Amino acid sequence: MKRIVLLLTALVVGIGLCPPATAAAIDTNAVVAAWLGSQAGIRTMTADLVQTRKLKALADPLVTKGRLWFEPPDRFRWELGVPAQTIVVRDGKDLLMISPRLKRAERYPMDGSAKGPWTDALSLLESGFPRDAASFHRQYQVRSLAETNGVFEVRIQPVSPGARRMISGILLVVGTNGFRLHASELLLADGSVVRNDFENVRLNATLETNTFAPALTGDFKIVEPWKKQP
Amino acid sequence: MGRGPQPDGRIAGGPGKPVTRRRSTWIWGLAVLAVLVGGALRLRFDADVLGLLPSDLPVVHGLKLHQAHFGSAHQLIVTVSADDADAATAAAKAIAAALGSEATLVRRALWQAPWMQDPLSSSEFLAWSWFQQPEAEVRRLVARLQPDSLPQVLVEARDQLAVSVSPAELAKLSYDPLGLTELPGAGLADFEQTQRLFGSEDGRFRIVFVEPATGKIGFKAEIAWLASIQRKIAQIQETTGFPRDVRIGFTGGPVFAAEAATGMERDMTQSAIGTLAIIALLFWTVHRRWRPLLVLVAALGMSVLVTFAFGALLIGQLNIISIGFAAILLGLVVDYGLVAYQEHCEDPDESVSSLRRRIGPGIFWSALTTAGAFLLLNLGGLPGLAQLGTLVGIGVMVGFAVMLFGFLPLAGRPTLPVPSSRALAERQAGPFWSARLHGALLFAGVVLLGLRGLPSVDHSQNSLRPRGSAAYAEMERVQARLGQPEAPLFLLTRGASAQDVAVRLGMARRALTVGTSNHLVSSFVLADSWWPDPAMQATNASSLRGLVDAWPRIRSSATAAGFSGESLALADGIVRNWSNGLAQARMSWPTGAVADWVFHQAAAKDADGWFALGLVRPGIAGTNVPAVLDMPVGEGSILTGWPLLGEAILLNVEVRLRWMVAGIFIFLLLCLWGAFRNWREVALGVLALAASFVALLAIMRFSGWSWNLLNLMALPLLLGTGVDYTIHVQLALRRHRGDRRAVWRNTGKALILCGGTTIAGFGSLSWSGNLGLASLGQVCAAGVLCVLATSLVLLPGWWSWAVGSRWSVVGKGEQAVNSKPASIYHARVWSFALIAARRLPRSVCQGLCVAGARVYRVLNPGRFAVVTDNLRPVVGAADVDRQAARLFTNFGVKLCDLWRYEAGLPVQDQFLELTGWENLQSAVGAGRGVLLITIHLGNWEFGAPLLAARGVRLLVLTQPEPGDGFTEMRRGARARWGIETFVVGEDPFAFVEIIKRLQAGQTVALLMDRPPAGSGVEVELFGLPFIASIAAAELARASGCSLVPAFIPKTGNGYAAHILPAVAYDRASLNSRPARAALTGEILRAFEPAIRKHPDQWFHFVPMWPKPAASKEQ
Repeated sequence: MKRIVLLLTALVVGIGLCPPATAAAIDTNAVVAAWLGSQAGIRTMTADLVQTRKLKALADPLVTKGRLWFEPPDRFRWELGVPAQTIVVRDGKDLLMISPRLKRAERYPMDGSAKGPWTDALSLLESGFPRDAASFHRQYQVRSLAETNGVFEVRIQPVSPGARRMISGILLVVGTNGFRLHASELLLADGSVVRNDFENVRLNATLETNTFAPALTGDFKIVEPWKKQP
Repeated sequence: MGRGPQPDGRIAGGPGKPVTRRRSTWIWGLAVLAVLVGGALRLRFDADVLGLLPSDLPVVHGLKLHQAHFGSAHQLIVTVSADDADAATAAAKAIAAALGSEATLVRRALWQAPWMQDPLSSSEFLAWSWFQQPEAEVRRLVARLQPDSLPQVLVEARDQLAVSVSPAELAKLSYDPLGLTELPGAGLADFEQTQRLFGSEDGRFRIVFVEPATGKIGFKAEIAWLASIQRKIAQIQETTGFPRDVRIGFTGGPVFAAEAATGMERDMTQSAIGTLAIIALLFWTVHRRWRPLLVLVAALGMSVLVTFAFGALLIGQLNIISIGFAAILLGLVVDYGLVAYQEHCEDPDESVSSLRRRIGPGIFWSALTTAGAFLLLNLGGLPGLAQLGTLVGIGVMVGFAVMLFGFLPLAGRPTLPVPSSRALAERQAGPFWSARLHGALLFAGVVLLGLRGLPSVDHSQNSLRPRGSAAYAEMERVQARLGQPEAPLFLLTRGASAQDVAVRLGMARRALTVGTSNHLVSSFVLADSWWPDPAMQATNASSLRGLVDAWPRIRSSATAAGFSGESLALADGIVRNWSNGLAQARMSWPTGAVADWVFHQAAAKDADGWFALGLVRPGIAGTNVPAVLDMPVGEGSILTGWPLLGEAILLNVEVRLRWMVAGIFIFLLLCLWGAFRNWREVALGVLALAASFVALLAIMRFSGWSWNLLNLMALPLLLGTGVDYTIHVQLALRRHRGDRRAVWRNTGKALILCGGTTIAGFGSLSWSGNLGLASLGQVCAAGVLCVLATSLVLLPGWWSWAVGSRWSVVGKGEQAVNSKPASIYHARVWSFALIAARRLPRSVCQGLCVAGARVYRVLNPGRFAVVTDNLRPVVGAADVDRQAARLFTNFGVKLCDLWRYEAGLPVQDQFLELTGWENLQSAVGAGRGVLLITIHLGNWEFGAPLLAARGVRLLVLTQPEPGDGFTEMRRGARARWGIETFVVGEDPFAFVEIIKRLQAGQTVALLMDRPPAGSGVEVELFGLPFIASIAAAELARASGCSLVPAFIPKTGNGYAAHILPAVAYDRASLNSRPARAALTGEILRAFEPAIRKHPDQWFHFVPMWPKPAASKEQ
């Protein structure tokens, strides 16, 4: 689960870099500062995505389309596959992982009461949109910054060793013009790579009320793996 | 051992077998040496906590099997924690690598599951496991890999790899796209679950499991092995240069054993030395003499050593509880030495042998009851405590012998310490100023219990744990960091063969499935997924052979679906192992790293068969431990585990404890009744114990102590030891006629000294390394303190209120309980005795009477004390106990002869001697009437038939006998011999009739040494005031009769009648009472030589002296 949360968190963090901005600096601190400065105006965001998984086990990459909804600070919905094969929804307190094909959903509490592998990831999630440089640097180290073909390639790494065991690094591809996020790339511990390319990004659109509260019909089996037995 | 040194330097041995002291000393010395050497050779220490517990309990038996057979019980757990996960991982890796290279020390050191290091190494174990699966599962696998279904399987695997957000699922599908690791109920083969045993999920806490190179070894070797490992890790720490925040901890079987063993050594030495120091201090405070102090310490040391050796010979090995016997023993045994020395101080001139004879029996019975109370622990159902009880029981008796035959002769002749002014002031004050305070505290205790309730009962096994154990703390840390707050339960399945175990594992699975539906079990893992099952192997062989044959096709399809060779490597290995297995005539257990680790954790074999280990986690209803214990788990399986241990043992102990306490309570009631023969004093004894128990409960509640497995046994111990205080105090109150200050001066201080040492003995266990033993020591020490305080402070007041009026100083008109005749002196008893005497041969009758008299003496210490008080002025303190004991025996003989006489049987042949007949003839010849005066010496009733046979008719004066018909019965018996009985009673005119008879020249017999109330006068006998009957002098004055003293003692096998010359007197001078009193004294003193010659036949069982033993005691 920790890995799931980390993966999602990294994606969300990456998304957080996508708002339009006008700064155009190649200095690492300046780029990050400019990006952070552009976060305040975001109320919602939606985007289409293409996820490419280059796994060691497969000779060829797997490509899947999907969609993302986000509302700061801690609500998001992530769908992979068309129609959706996997849906991950967080509405603040809980995180739901839904498998429509298997009619199964897993609920994880995200209220901070639980401890374990996902604690670090939780803190990352809660600061999905870092509002200032201090909170950002508490969670990520900026390893490198390069400018090529009109984009910044920012390589960051989770500060948390636990998180780093799962995701050894994150690459953010941000447009030099307005800091628009083009892609994020997660380097997993076994060398596999998961890349998300974002399209049709829309900011501050009105979202449907049930976006972060999917209705699960009665034939869904809901389990709570973290719930302690009395 | 029962012979004391004599003044001539010899020891009185058996009759006709004198043994020199020197020779005897050598014999005893060699015997003790032999015991010590034998004990030392046989002595073993058992540091295993399970050694304390009853093996017949399935939970204990199961845990012992687990400890004995499974590697996990013996592996060292090295914990590595750091702020940074990478640092923790690096350190754990380095430690495992370094220890793994120490082949002489370590069999295996793992910092991660074996398959994590080399995932492909698990292929052998997975292949083996598929052979053991149910046929349906294998068929399902075969079906999934058929040409028509395989493409769909591969597509689904790719699709899931594309959309899954679960890293675990991604990893699994990446390296097992065909689902060959999907074994139902995989247990330890559930690789993801098992890896969690090796560290916390944040990675900052890691565990290295270290298996010793050899199996279970002795605790000393285990300590040495642990030290070697710790040194090695310290070296790694230095050479590798771990970051500062890396912390290394140790726990697991070897650390527990090492801690327990060092705790045993500490308990043995520290508690015993502490107790000895307190004893020495108390002794010095009271006596301030070096020689007896040093001898006392040496005697105590000898007692412990000999007990140690006896214990070793008898028991073989001492455990972590029984090792605490030394401190308890010291606190108890020293009492015998203190009492003996205190008595010696009272009369320094008394010889040691005499002193030993005098006080030995009392101390012996006290030691025996104490030993009995401790030996009762053998019925408590806890072998650890039973050993403790046995050792203390043996030690108390050994200590009794050492103190009386070793300490007492060697302590030297004591001198009385000069009391300080403060001590004198204390003598004036006594402890009674504190009665109100004590009462108030007791009341406060009752209120506290009312408000806050009784002390709780700890149902856990915590009392078996060592105190301040770093190993336990580290184990709790491991459980917390791994997210396993509660240790799992073990399911041990045993069978004569592997096949038997396989069948029984099936039964266990079915039983546990039922338990799951009942919510007693939340989950369980059994070894049946990989346990060898030849039947399954044969059934699955053909299916798996088909897959081996089809593997080129399957592999080709997977490659075509895009799966790399890397993703199919595990499947390649599994198929290769299937092929190898199918090539064997009979499959042998796999031997690879993964299989070896799994089997070492969950499979074992001994000479009797095979064992499989499963893990069970209790469900919602699992908090009801008794229900879990009663849950069926299938034939041949035992459900056990540390979480069940406390409750299981407590259930067992509670049942036994009820019976023990009930039994000892009845025993105590009998003891109290035997001591007092008075229900009020018995009730007071019980009340004092009850009040003490309430006080103890209040102390426990106030201090936050709880009852547990071990300290529950304090109840019978406290009852057994505490009752002594209530008896001592009440008997002292009797002796001192309710004078509480006198009781405090004598008995009180002695009890405080003895109680203080007992409290010190128990109290020193409070620092024991074992929590249970410490709590037992605490509760016992507090309990003894409560009983002591209640007995000394409250009991005297209660006694004065409830029974004090029945005891008083003689001469003030109040009767003491023991101033009454014995309750068996009754018409019915007498009637029955006459029938028996008439029908039984004399020898049989005499034997029964003597035995009865001796039993009566033992059961009536109060009556014995009265007799000793009566005889002390005659024989002196040195010989009084022996003479008193002989008196009881002689009284048995006398009773036999008396009953035969009153039954009408001939007694003439028993008269062996008659002296002074001329004295009687002369008196009769004078014609003034004869008053034949005698005392309660020998068989005085025999005088009547003797005189009757010689033609002298006798009128016997008596007091009314107690009860209805008794007087008439005895009157009739005498009449049979032609003897007239005149009952004096309270008729004021009775003496007129007697005077008339005397004046008529008749012979009248009168006993004068036990006057009825109001008819006594104080005279001097043996130089002390004595109350004698003035009747003889009164009758002499009134009638002018001759006063002829006579007595009939037993000599040899018969009796001798002695008639003394008549006592001359001047009738005219008897008008004044002082003159009559003087004549009374003169008559009585005529018997002094006879009494002195036959003190053991001067039969008085009620107090005779106005100021009896008190004069001697002080």
